[in-house]
Amino acid sequence: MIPADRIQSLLAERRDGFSLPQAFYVDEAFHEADIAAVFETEWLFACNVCEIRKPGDFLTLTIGRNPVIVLRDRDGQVRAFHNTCRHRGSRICLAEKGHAHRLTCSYHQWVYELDGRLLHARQMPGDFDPAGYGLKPVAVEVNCGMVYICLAETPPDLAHFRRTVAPYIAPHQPDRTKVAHEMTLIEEANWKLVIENNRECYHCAGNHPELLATLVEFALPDDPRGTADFQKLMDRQTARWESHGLPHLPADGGQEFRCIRLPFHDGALSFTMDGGPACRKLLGDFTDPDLGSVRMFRVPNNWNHFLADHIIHFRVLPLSAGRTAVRTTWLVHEDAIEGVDYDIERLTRVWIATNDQDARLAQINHEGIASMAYRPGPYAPSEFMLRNFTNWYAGKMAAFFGTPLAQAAE
Amino acid sequence: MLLDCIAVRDETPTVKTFALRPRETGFSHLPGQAVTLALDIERETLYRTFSIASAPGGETIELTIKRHPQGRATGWLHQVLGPGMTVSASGPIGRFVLDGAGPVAFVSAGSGASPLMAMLRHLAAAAPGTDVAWFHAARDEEEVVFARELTALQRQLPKLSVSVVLSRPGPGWFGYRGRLGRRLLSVAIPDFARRRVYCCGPDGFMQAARLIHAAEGGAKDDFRIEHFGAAPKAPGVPVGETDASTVEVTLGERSFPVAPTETILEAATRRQIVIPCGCASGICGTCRVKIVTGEVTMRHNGGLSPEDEAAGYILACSSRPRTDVTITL
Repeated sequence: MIPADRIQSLLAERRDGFSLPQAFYVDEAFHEADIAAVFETEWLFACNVCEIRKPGDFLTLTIGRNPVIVLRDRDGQVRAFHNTCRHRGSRICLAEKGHAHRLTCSYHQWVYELDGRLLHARQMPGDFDPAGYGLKPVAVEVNCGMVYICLAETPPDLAHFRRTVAPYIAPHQPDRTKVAHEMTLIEEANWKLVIENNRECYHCAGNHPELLATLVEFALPDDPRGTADFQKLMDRQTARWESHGLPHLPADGGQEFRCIRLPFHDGALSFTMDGGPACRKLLGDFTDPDLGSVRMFRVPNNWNHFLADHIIHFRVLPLSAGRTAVRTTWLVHEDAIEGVDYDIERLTRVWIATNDQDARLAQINHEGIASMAYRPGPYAPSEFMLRNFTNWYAGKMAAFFGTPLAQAAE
Repeated sequence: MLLDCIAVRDETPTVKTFALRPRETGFSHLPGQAVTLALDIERETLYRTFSIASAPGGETIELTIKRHPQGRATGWLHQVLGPGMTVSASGPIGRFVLDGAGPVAFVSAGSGASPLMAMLRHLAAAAPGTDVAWFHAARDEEEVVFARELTALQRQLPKLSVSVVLSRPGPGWFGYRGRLGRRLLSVAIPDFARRRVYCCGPDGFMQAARLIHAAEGGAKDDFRIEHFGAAPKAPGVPVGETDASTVEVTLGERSFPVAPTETILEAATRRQIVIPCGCASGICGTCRVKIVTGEVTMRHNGGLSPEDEAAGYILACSSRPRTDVTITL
């Protein structure tokens, strides 16, 4: 039972620029509320199209309690369905990834075509009409090879996001890649803490030695903490990117998304320990290895890095109030050869270490928030993206559950 | 040495091949090497380096040369040089030579095909099983050099594939059109990064090809270029290590001052003192001179062998004197 009135009153007492009240992070009933208000209404990053390259390739994921299948149909279209049989509801595709000629439920062998139509239901009477028992569709949008899904009957408009980020990420040709490595980490923390941790680099200096070998801590090209050297580096690199026609200025994504191209430290090209390339074969049609990285974030569950030589997608899915699955995929040029063009250890080392450190940080954050002494604390100026995120989240919750003011007006 | 011109034939409207016979016996070159011609034109001697297009071992060598619109030397060659005439030359020079086994890619633009043709002719005779992928860029159909001979060579080299891209094709052209780019090259030669590349053409063309090879994942050592012609800037020869004052360089009976910011070649050229030169980029080796006394700081681009360097040779285009220096040609 979702406590709508408690949510309303906590939203009312929440302070802008402060972390959320305790219950939003640790209460299982609030987790149910997050699933209903956020994860069953928003566009969610699912995977890259290269993970379902051929007709019949599929991938499964679970949103709250909703098993979903994402697949490529016989015409090459990416589609998504609720992964539940229309007979008596059994889960159909059981593997995390796979290839299927048709989707056959293992319980009573109802058979579905890749477009969701029920093809065959044995032993059903002659007047049974399969047309009324196709798989329930889930909305799909593919943006430059990135697959987003939405469980809502009427999904929100994604046009502004698509239009705005495409010029940044399309040159990296995410659809002409392959997964070099994937990893799913179960973090012992609320999903919002995972996102908040990712949205600031206030913690980087004390925790991420591998990452800071190459990553600049600044989130904006004119960060007031930036040194004169950083400004010179920015000027030089932005001139270089402009000569290639690559956009770099912060995009206007409001609270919904963020997209910007930022440089690595002077001389560094990629997320490696020495800053050298992680994959010798560059993405797309690039001939310049020094493109910094496009950092693209979208609420509620996705952030990414797009470099000259590889792409990293991060996908966040809440499992419970205190557990979150973070899936990381490293993608390289579709024709790159392991052992020749890239080495998995070299490609993944920095972010495997960083993910582990972040998982620990999110966990100790969650453990401390559970304390009776926890009170929401103030965000630093460099944590402006956390303020954007919690304000966006509060707005989503208010829109779904109503606010005390809205109720009073009724 | 002296070269007797035996024959001249048209390759394209702007390219001719000159068949030259060395007067002395014993001339031999490696496929890809070049000769420097000393051409007496209007009471001046012009030194120009040209790749040899013929395979080693023949009685004559062939130079396939494009006429440049403002080129005095190439203009003279095209208009004046003919059978019965003699030119003086030195060489062979250059380290742009075919080496090693395994699949190769040739990438050329215009008459940059010449040294690659020497390599291909050599392979047809010596290693006809070699896997060769040739990507050639030209302006239009008429300017595609060696087209007929490549057809013939494909019979001898079963693993020879040729792709031609034209920037201004006419009607009826069924090959590639456009310019060198990563996508085009990776379609024409899908395994480009896995081949040893020999590239010859204008600077911008070779630079683009080098970036493409690296972007496709090719190793730096597997990309070789040939380079002649006007390239005004010397490689980054370090300034400094001198006492900032001008030093004297002596060549034969003449001495000339060299400023700290200049190379020996630049200073000599300023005084109309001729040191035979080609690329001015430390690549071709034409301006090789020997140091008799004194010291220089040198940074070249591979145009001088370690053996020559140890024997006291320098490249004038790539050297700044640290002290007063005496050199000989």
